[in-house]
Amino acid sequence: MGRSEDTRVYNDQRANERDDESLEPDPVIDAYKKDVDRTLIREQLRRPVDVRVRNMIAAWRFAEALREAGRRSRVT
Amino acid sequence: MTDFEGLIRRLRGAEVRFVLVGGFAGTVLGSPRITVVLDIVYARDADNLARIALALAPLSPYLRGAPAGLPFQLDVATLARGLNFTLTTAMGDLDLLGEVAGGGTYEQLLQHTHRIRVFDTDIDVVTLPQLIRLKRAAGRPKDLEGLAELEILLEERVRET
Repeated sequence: MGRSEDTRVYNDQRANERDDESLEPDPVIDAYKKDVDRTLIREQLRRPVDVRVRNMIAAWRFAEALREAGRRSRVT
Repeated sequence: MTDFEGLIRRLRGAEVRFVLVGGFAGTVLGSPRITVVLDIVYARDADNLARIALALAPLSPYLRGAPAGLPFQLDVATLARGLNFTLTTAMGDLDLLGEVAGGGTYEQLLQHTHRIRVFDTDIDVVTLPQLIRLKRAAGRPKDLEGLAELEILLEERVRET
């Protein structure tokens, strides 16, 4: 997918989201926000959709490889 | 791991009408969280049920977590009798949701979607505010960290505009 296509999609998204109802604050969720890495979120937002998806899949495979290595080390 | 691309291509190739929700919708919208299940809200009309059954039949769909050997067949009759199906397939885990808490049916949810190109195919993805509402309505303690991330994602997007 081209970068220009991705930008077009996201312009649409932002326009729609401004029209969407606002969310009531939830103090329980707000308490969790202090632990969220905003730099990671901002980095994600700069990436095209396909890159976000590929990165998530790669992270999952890496985690799975670590789990498998752990399983093997317990067996031997 | 779930073959997200394979499942989405298969569903779109069969012209199944669905809205992408859940963790993978979060990924598409910018969440850095890992997810292992494809969650979709599907239209319940007879044509769409037939398309779903046809698309998934080669993948041997089975009820996730159910004991092996149950006489389960995901055909139109099964889909019509049930509503929400948590499945395992040859391409990974797939949740077929006829209705979702906080969002209702496919038709009700469709007005809170964007058409986004993923894997070179256009799919209807729930909006970020609506995804947050759905996760809030689900009320699962395990979603709290993810919800905080999604809400910050929304704040950051509003801040950028």
